[in-house]
Amino acid sequence: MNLLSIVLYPLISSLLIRMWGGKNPKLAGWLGCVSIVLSFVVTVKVGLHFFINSSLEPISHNLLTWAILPSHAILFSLKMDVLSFVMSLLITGVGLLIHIYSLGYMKKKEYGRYFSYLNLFIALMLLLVLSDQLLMMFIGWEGVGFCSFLLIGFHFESHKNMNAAKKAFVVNRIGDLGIFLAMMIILAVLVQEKQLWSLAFEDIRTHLDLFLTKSIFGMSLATVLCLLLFIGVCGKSAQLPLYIWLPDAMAGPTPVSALIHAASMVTAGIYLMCRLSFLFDVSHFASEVVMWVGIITALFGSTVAIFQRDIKKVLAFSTVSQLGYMTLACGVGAYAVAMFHVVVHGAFKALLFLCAGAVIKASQGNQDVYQMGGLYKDLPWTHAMFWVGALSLSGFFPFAGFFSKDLILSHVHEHHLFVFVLAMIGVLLTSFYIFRLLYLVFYSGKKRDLPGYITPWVMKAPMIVLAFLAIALGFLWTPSFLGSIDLFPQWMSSLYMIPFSTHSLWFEIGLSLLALLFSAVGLIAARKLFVHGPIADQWIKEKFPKLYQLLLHQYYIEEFYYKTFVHDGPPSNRKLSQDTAFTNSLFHFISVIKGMFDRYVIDGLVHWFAWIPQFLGSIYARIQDGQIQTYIRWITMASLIVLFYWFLWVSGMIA
Amino acid sequence: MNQLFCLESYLVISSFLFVIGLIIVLTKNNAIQIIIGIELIFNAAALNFVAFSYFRPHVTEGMQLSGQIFAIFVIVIAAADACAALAIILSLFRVFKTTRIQNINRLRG
Repeated sequence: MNLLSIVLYPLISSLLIRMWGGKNPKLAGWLGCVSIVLSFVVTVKVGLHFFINSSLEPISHNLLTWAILPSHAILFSLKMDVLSFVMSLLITGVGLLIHIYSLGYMKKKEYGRYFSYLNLFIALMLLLVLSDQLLMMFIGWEGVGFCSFLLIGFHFESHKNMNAAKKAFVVNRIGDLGIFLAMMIILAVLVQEKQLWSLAFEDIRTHLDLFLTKSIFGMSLATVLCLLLFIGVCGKSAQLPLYIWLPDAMAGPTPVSALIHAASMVTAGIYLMCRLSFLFDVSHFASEVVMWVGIITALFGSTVAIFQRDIKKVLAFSTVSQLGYMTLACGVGAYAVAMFHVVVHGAFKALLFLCAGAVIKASQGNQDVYQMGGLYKDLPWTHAMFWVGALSLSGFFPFAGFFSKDLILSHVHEHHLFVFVLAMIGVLLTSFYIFRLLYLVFYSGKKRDLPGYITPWVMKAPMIVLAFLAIALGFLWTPSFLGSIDLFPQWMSSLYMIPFSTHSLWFEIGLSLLALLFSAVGLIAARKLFVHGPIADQWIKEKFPKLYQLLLHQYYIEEFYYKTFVHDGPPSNRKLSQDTAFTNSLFHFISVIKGMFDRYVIDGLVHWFAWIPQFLGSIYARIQDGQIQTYIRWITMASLIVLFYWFLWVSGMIA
Repeated sequence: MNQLFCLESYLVISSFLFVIGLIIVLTKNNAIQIIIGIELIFNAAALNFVAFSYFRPHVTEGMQLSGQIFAIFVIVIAAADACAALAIILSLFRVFKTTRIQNINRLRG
């Protein structure tokens, strides 16, 4: 019952707010926050069991049996193990802080819609992480995608926002197809081989050998499943081929970006990989793919973030890059490390976004970093908080990012040396772009005279808590030379079979120092170049226009998608659509064939079925056409027939 | 002469009249023409009454002319019927500006 109430509190409050919150913003704000508090408290209460009884036995609660047929029933139940517990804490904890922050950030008249969407999101995200089987997880997975759609398009008055929302929805559907196919394969195999109607993670784990022995297309079924699931992960966690929705998702309100598009929803993909780590672990090929996609995404995000002008875009690409690091950790088998980075990243990225929100609020909706600068005097609090977030993101000791990033690096080093070098470059770039942002926003010579905006306490308090977490969370898992605290891996130990690296002490210290050095180089370079404004950007723009445009346009990936898949071309750049590219005409040709099929086969079938009753009806309708003469005709005809038979009968010709 | 002046010849003429009237009722568009058809059907019936009455072999005292009286009734009814029908047609014509009954189908569902 406790587990159910975790999900139900935000769900019910979402409905209540939708019904009565619109006209009563105070009620909406209160209900929105209180329901998350309740959810958080229950989560902690349930989770304490793990620590009081020091047993990692999961707690489960059966919800209902979805009976397709009585003998083929799929059981829906909630289950909380430590992995779910950590995710639930992240969702409800960061969610609560961001709800409180939103009280200050959003306008009063927007409360009703905003909080009902946000609470619905929290409920569905909790459903996602508390589900013990793929199908119900998928419901949550789709649900959070839908909430993300609603919240990206929150200010739907602008066409741009609606397009961003639609884009997020469509790109996520592509990923969901992969998960859906994987679910069907799993169900088919389990039913065929074991007569087991189940999609539960435990059952997949128990019958893992089934997926290993079977193979299609020369790959083991496990590999195929992993690759299909990874398509879904790419969609939700913004990995490279399908990342394009996340930067545009910044069209939503900033707290939404902090919660959904940085701290919780985008980590659902990483959560899925960790949840199914036993499956990914047995497929080396899939793990290689995951690793490469992860590192390429990490580098991609950090390079693209360098020249962005929109403060939220920089943070969005930073999120893409950090998600790449998490995926990389999953790819090298360090699932616990990936989860650790999910938690840590949830804290500092939410913090950075909330700071960005305060900055945007103070500069009256302006998001262009070139027009900011010198804000450290106007916003001393936000400035300090941003420092904490930036130091944590770039991995300075003793901030949390230092510990998680170090763990990822050491695991990658153990696995693949070249990828390790790339990851190191990523560390440098990360530090560079985040401090570029910091210096451009808060220092950079120019002074803006802002109308005295004071950040309210409801916005400050969550930032302080998150800043505290962005420092403290790191001490859940420290390397051997710093006391070797390993609370976090102990919690995760029952879930993952990962050989933890056993490096020598000096190697670990060396690695940490190297990473610190790279981060410091990034910091110093950013300070040198950007403390007086975006001069370096201008310089590169003039000297290396190609490189500048390449990075600014995200390696033209978006243009490629628009040219190939979207016939009209990007709305911002109509000129491209006039190019009659080969791919363009190819897709046109395919769409013509599809159109013909649709029109004549599918519509034709429907029309044919509609024609049958129409035809029969037209026959019977003739009997009753409203003309009296017709009726007389029928009467006459019928009487003649009766008379004819009467004559025959009378004359004895029929018996 | 006797051969021609028998019940069957009357019945044949009467059935001719009836069928002609029926065909007029079935085929004509004009309401007035249809009334004429109905009159023909009435007269076919009246002719039958008279013919059967005349050629009846055994007649009870005082009932000799019962068929002819029926024929007179039929004529009276036909006249009354024509009155009512023509009045209806007239008022229909005022509304619809036509006497074509195909066009008078306002009641059709």
